[in-house]
Amino acid sequence: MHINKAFHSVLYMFVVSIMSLKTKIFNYVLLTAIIMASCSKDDALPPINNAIDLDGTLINDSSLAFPEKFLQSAANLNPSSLDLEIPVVICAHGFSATTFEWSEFRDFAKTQKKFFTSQVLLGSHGRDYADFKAGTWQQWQQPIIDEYNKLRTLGYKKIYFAGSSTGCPLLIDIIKSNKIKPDVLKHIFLVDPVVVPSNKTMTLISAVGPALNYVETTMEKGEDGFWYKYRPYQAIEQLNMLTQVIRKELESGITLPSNIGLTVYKSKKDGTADPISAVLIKKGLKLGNGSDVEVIMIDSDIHVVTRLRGRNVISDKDIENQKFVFKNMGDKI
Amino acid sequence: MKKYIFLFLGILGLMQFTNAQIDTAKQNFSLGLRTKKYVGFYYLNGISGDISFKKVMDHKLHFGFNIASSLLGSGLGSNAVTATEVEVSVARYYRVHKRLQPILRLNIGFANAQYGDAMFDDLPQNDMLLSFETGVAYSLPYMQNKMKLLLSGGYNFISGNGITGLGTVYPVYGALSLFWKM
Repeated sequence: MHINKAFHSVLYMFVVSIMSLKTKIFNYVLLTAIIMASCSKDDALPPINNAIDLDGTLINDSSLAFPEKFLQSAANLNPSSLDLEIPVVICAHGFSATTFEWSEFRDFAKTQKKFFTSQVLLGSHGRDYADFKAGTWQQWQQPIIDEYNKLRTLGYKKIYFAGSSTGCPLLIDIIKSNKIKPDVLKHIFLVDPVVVPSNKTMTLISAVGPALNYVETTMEKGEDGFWYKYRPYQAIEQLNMLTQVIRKELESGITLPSNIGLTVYKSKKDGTADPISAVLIKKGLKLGNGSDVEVIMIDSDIHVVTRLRGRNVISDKDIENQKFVFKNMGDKI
Repeated sequence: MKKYIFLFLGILGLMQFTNAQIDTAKQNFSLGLRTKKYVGFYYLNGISGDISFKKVMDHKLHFGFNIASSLLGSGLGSNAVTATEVEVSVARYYRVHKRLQPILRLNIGFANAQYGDAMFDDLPQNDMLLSFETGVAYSLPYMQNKMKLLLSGGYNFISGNGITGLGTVYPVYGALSLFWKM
């Protein structure tokens, strides 16, 4: 931070030194105004409606109160040897979302009756604005690692990862950084992964964030209470850091441990995760035997094709896409 | 990166009052190397050219081109997407008889990305570029004033979201060019 200030001061003095006196006076006035504006930065809370917004202190993700309904590790503390043979899919949701994002997949799993799901709530998510503001991307990631380790310790032999949106780079980093022992991990499913965000101005968040304080998102009616409505710039900064880290890791090349498969499902027209995210994963991530990972481009214009619940408009094609992805995932489990 | 810019500006600050040779040539053509870095994305490296005429605003207006690719930047020995940009530019130079010359520049061109697999053919692969750039050029007092450094920062008015535009084009960038007067 001090280096930043020194750099800006010298840059400013340099620019001013080559200007005329009149311009200098104008610029000193401008600088004073900028300093005053930055000093009066508004750190106040956004206009949260506690009755409907997840950002408030009244509504939390249900998995906090009833973990046994969401996490296999909490649902069955003494699994039988038969239970341990049944695959478990650990589902990681996206930025600002909650376990709700994977609820349709949980319902699908119940109809299949051949695998369990563990819907993990990311760290700092599903609570309130202050928690979201304070969390780092490593803290978002930790509950995924914890759930994997708990299931592994309980003795489950076939664990799968499924990530949506920001959940995907978190999963990639877990593997790349050896944060788990992957001996019981079988396959990773990535749905609309974010490696390159569609909104390119996100890369400027460190510069403009303090002035914005937070970004308000337009919620669809069924999304109230399941997504954070107000995104503090600190959280967006963390997301930016995460995507930068993963992009560079993919550029350097990542090889999955042997016997772990990976499938990417990517919407072709995604206003949140730029479709070149799939290109970067295809180029940068290889299976243990050196072959390419599977990438399936979906003819869709929605972000997270597997989540339709809560959306205002759902087309027949959206339903078809969801069914296709669920079936494809189910066939691989 | 900031440290180097800091050092560069410091040196230029000390030398800003020195005069370059008054340019009496009918036209000047310079060719050089350019490195461009998008904030939050790739390095694109390549070549840059620049021509000015005595008759056209006494060498204050420059016409140029840039060709840069990630293949020579972030893509060197890595899995980065091959992104190539070709631009033509018009630039207004100030204090043309001094060594240190502030500039304003407008670039227009196109960008292309190669994804390396037919399954990505439906994604945007080309986009138009329109950017505004500002910075300082410094005529180095060596080799008969034939070398010129140009440090600039720019803003792309068109940046891609991957649906209607190319996802490799980011809004803000910094660039450093080293020209050699031919």
